[in-house]
Amino acid sequence: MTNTGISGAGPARLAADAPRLDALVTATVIHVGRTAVVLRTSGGALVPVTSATHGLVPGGVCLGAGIGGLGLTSRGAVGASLEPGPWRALVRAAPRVDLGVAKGAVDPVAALALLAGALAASADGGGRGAMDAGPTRRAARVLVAAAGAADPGGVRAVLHRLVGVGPGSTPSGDDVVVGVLAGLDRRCDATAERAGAAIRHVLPALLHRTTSLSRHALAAVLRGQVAERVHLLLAATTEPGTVGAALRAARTWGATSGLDLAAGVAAGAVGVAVAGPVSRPVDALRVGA
Amino acid sequence: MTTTTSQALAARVLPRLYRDSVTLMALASSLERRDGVTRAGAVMGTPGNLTVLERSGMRPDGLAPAPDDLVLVVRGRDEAAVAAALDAGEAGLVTAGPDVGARPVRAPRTVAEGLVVAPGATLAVVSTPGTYAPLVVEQALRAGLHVLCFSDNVTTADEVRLKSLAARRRLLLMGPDCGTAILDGVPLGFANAVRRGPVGIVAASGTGAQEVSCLLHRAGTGVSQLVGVGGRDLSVEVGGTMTDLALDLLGADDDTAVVVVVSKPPAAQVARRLLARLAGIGKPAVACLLGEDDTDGAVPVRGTLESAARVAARLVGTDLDLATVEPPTAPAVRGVLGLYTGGTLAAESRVVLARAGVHARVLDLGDDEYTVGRPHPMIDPSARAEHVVAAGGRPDVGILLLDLVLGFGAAADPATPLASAVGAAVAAARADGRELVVLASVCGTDRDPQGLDAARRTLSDAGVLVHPSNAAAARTAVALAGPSGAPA
Repeated sequence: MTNTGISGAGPARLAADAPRLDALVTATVIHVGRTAVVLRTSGGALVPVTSATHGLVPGGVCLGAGIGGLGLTSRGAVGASLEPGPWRALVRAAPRVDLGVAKGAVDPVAALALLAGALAASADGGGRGAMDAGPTRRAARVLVAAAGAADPGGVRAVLHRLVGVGPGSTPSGDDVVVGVLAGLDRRCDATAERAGAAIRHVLPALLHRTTSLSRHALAAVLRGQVAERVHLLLAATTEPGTVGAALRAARTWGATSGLDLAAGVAAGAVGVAVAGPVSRPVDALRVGA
Repeated sequence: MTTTTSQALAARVLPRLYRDSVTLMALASSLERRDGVTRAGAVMGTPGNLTVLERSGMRPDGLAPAPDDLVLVVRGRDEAAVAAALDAGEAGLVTAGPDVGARPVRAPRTVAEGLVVAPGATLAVVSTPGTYAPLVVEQALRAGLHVLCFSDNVTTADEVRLKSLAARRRLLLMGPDCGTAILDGVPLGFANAVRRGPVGIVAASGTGAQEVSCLLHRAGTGVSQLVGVGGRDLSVEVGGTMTDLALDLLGADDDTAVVVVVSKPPAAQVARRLLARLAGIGKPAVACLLGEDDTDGAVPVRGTLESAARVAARLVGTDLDLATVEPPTAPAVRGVLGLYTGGTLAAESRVVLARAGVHARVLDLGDDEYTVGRPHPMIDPSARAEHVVAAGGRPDVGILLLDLVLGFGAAADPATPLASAVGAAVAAARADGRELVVLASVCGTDRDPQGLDAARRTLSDAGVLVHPSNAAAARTAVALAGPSGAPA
């Protein structure tokens, strides 16, 4: 197994739930993407390594100077380990950051604006069948409604339609679920707490239905940990004036991920108190075809 | 490989391969452009995605990947075409580049290259950044082409120089910043599918021309030619050079019986010259100068789009008969906020409201101020949706005034996101103990790709009071608001 070079990658930040230093140092590369390099430790934990523009993700490392500094410009780097000395020095010096969702006030207008923006983008299309993220985004409110109604069967049915469904290595439906749980966690009311608990009760049994990368993100949100990008969306639910900027940023996060997360966060933050034309369950669940 | 009676379907499983969603979506799109391919997908092999593939008829028999496997699936004309696409797709995934052998289409990069590809062309559409537009426009004019210049940010000096060149060669230079034209029945830019008919339109305003042409279509008549000239053509500096040429052409056009000029009010001396020119054109003419008082001299002048369309319809022997809309109960809060995608439609509403003494805030969200770094809201409806939803949270707004523009160039389904946003805005207002009345009109025809009735129904279902014209919607706002204060 080869080592890769690390030049100019730092400084770095670590998620508070990232593996211990020894495990990080011996981790190997399993994926080199445009926005993230994913390592796997000998214990099987995934460690997403991202650049500052992408932000820190749960269990991950964020490099101030970008993942290009890892020297993994070729996809042939999969299976390699990082150069131990510099990599150890880099992560040893990195502060750990708590990515837990803090409770806070939600402005219903801001949350609705975020939801409308995410769903409006879905209406423009961009894919068909399994490549279409629109139905999964619309299902976000159905999931919240089922969870808020203490309907375990409904929650299970909606999660079946979401987990592992949609385009991307982290399928759209998974991003929506991450967003929904984050949005619910943000709220301070008992209804949101019950809804979150209902989803957390069902979700673990469905994790096998999605990719390893998505399982990592879903497992993190089950623990209440979400990526810094999700925190940006959560912040937008508190102030209408920030929604536009958050949506513009979200549109640039992968082909679908940003708006999938936005739809989920907004739906969770809005809750079930405000009805609207986006909450027709039959339409929302019409996936595929 | 699964082969149906007419098509082949096959998949390829690439074990434990991850690619970013951008790559996968681009790959699928690229495969679908190949000869012989009708549909393609590139997804992770999760149970959920397999179910979706199954439902959409895209899961070949026996396909059973693991969730971490990447699946390419292609439906196409025959087994050979499908296999070739899968080969290309796999090659594109295991190497770095997104090029997977799509049908090579190299767009012309210069006017000269374009004329090689289309030697019979008579018109060039220029939409380069404004800095480069004058050069390309000049090349096109010197090649003998009419030009529709969509680009903005062209200097007035360049516009004067190029329009002078065009006029000397008897060529149309529509623009800069011209978004709408219909020439010999061919729509260019943002235009609606209107009936061909006896009315020729010269327009220095895009959505103004769209509204007039759509109202004429609804009156049962139609448009012979719609020539956009750019918003500055009737300025003192440009002097109406292209308006003059367009009027010459329409005056000589046997298919044009009546001429309509649509513009914001030009400078006084330009307006005088324009009216004299229209009076001498030898055909009945109407001048729609937004905001001007209605007069009935040798050339009728009308201050709204609707009234100009009504006069033009009458001149060709038909009536613009628009349904009346009963105003709802006035809300307690009577502040009027207009959120428009069409600049001239916004201007028309301001005219109607101002004439009635109603103070209102009417925003043109297609203005540069709101579109920096993002598409025009007629293309990307989400840009306005955010404003609409936010309006639901404003305690000073009780009446929301909207437009919805259909036609070529506009979003495929602008009504749905607007309806969602309206629903959210109304819900937000109700949650705050207020009523929000939403008034709108749809600028479009029954022949537009989005469907006029479908768009109206979508808005109506969301609680929007849909009017037959933009002016009519503004009049209802007047009836509800009275001379109230505008929102801050």
